[in-house]
Amino acid sequence: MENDLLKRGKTNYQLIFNEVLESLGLEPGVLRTQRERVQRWLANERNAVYQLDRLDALRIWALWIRNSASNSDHRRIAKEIALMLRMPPIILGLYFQTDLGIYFETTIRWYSVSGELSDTPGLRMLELHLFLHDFIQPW
Amino acid sequence: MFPKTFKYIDDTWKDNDYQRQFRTQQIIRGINAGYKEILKMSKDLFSVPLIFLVLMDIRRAPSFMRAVNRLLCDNDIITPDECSTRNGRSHDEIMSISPAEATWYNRLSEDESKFVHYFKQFGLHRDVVLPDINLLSKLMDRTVPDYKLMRPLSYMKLTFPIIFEAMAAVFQLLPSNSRILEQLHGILRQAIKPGDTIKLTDCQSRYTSNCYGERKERKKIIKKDMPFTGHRKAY
Repeated sequence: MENDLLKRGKTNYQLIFNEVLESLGLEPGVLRTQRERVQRWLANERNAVYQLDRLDALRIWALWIRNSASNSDHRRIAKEIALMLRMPPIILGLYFQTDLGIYFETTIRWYSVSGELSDTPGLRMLELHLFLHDFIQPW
Repeated sequence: MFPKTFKYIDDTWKDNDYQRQFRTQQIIRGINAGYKEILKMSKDLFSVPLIFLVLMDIRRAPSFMRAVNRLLCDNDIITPDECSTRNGRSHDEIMSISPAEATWYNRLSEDESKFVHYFKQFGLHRDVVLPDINLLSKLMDRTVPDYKLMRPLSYMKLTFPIIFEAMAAVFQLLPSNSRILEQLHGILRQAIKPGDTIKLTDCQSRYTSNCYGERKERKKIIKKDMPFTGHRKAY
């Protein structure tokens, strides 16, 4: 949806986004568009974190376009974005993806740091069951 | 686990019991489906030889060791008397003591010949390991170990040095993740287009990691040794 707007007026809508970020006291950022990916590896989870961090900004941005754009198509798309970003089930989905992301990020980090008795990352076979029972499958 | 999700559900639908329960159930169903996938992926860790790494966790190692002794007895590696001496209780009593022992026993007995092979390969049958095995088998599983004073591996190294040495000789320099496959995976993910399907991605990864070559070889062997029964049955 955001992509539909950006395709139609990238420069203008990025300027509006900058103003929104400034008014909310947030750091300036480039507006990125994301869709749900078929990839099974952390793509959706990281995108969910990005969107949750900027949820208010995106909502105000969409309402701004809804109220100020001259093109009726743009206004309709902006309205749908604003509506979607206010729907609790959609925000719940983003929270769920974020929590899932934390779980998998921890697993990946575990392999990329050195172990208790090994200085080299990736050589942590002796600790595999400890990690499995303490973190991966704690139930 | 999942603190933000459940907090959001409670905050958003605190006045609507039906919605709160419905959303909670929806999320729990998703989590359970994920757990099933994780269980599938961690199946190898609960089969020989990787299951022996349980010996590095003092909370589970004693019951695991008792199950090992019992299975050794079943396979005539040690006598029932010896098994009783090691475990500190009679041979038949072992299975009725703790469900954990029964679980380990069942997992280990899935492939007994493989279990015996790796038990010997790790050097756990040698006399020098016997004092450690005797000591470990008589302990109770500890539910709350004091890992603040000493980390788990250091604890095992200090308390059961010979078992630790035997396991470390095999596993300490064995990579816990496959760097080569990870790099291939990275290349693949870098080049993937948003519109590509999982099927195409999997085909690409198989081609890059030369799985097709192996498949051709396997097909040749099957054709040579047995009548052709169709691709699906042949595997």
